[in-house]
Amino acid sequence: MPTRRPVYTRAALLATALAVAASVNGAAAQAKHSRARAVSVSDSIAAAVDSLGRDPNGVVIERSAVQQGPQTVAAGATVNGSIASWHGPLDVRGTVTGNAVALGGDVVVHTGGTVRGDAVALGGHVQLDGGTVQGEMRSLSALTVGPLARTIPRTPAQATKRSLSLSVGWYLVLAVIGLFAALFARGNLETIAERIRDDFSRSFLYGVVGQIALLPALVVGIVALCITVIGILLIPFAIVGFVLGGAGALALGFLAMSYVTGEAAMRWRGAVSAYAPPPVVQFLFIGLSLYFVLWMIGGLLSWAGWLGAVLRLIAAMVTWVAVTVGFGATLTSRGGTRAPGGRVPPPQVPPPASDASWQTPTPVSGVAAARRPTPPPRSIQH
Amino acid sequence: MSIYSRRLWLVVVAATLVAVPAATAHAQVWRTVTASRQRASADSLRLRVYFGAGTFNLAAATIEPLLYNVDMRYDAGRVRPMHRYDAATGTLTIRSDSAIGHPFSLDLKRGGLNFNGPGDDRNGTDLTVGLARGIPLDLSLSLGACDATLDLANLSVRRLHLESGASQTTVTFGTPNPVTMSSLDLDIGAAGLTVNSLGNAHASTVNVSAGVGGAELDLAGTWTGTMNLVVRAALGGITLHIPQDVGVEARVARTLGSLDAPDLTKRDGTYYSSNWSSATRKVVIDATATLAGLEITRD
Repeated sequence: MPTRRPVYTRAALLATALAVAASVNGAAAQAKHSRARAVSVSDSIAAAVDSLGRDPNGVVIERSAVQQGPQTVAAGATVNGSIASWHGPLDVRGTVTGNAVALGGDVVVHTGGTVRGDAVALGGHVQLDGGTVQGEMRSLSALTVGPLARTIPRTPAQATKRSLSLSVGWYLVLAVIGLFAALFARGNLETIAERIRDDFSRSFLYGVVGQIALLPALVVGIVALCITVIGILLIPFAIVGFVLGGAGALALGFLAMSYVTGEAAMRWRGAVSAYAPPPVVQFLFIGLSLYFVLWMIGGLLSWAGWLGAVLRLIAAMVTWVAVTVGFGATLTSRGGTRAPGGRVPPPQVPPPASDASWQTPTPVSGVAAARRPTPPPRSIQH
Repeated sequence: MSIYSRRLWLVVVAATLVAVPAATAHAQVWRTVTASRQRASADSLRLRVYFGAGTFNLAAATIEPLLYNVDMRYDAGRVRPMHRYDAATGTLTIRSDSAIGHPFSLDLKRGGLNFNGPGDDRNGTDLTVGLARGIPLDLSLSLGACDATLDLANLSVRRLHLESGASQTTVTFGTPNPVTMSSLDLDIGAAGLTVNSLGNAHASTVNVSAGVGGAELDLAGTWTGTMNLVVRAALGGITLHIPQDVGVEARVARTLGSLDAPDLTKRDGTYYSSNWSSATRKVVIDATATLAGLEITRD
């Protein structure tokens, strides 16, 4: 009997790995936080100016135009160029030849005040109190690009949620498709699975070639339709049909591969009966779940930086190999209509009637009665 | 079922139960931008809108004397809307194309798996545009998959070109257009279009091209003379509501299409209303229906 590593040991290893990853990231986060505290107000202003200049709805101003606290342009005074306040309102009673900007406050243009450029309030509002703004008046709740738009790049928690969401979404979609395939295309699924079992490497090779040839095949098909002139009308339908066919073949192949994977997992666990018919749906869902678990682990560790990235890369590679093998098997078996060796798979035979079926009441008209099973004749022993 | 397979199933179910709530919340980063411009010496305005998913409203500006005011609320994680005003040409361009960065989201409160794409208004952009009254407007609107409401009352619309992909669009000419419309083109794809009081548009020629979604046009309003209505319908249906006092002439070309016009009489291949020769205002309909239905009713 093969010796297995105890469950506790594996759990301990996993916990250690998680703890190491968490501590590494925790230390990195602490260091980042310390650095952030060290950033001076001047750097913050520079970052805000940079972000505002790159925002699609922002405005370009010079760093030197920004002053800390509330600012006022007195009546009769003229500011040549732009003026901006940092964390305070900007009151304009005189003339600003450039832009009037409040970074974290309101811009108020009072009677007699004129702004020849734009009036922009970040985190505040532009108020027109009898004044004139020759440019545009804009109020932005926050920046969307640049170093200050920190919320735009996903936080680790957001990245984790997104990865999980994608994983669960694809899993559920494939589960539904798989259920339909198991119910309505079981024969095709089993034939493709058989092809995978018989010749894994050749299926992979065909899958790679098939994926590379997809686009050229589409182009050739379109050119062929163009040559026939009348076929030009069919090009949109052909493109849609080709895309659907390709996606269907990829999905069916992956499901067949999931079926094989699930079956292998169950056999490894010794949970497959050699006499009972294969539980297709069970194999399929177990296989799908195994791939799903790979993605879930990668998604759950999205916060863990490179570790999560490596895990997701592994999941992507494993999934690609599975899709490729399944796609190749789908192609070589012509969508599951040709069993290995070129033979057509036998039609599915209904299960034999049970021993008690002969006792079923016979309809009154026109149906031959079932024959009662009889035991084979005994051999005569002398 | 062996104990191993039972355990495996248990793990799968547990993983799903854990993962679903974790994946429920989608990170949304909402931003608002409000922009406006004083009218000053502007004597006309061209508006170009390229809008993806969400809700789009257009109406007369409520604050005078603004040339325009724009209010946008958007998820910065999905879209990066922008707007530009070119003073030299008097053109305001607003662009908020949708970006599908999150095809799936799980929302247990709303009931399961959502496929986020164009047309998902909950996650789309809200865009409201107000335009100045009393100056000629050229409107060119390209809408993706959104709910759009265009209330053109009190506006002087010189041109309107509406191109819609999969939007549910309502256009209302609530008051008579002070200027004559030189062109009115409504090009609807797989969308629904409702036009109210089209007679107030004061357009001599109206071009309507409708796809799968179909369109409903109400020709009520204060208009005189003759309106030419060119209708192209494919796969969908178009319903025309025409006031009783309007004379109707309809030339309809059908390819596997249908015409339902009980009040019109066919003469020499053309349909006429009974008051065609005596009516003071008329509409001439040139319709093509391909696998589509055309219904003409008198209100």
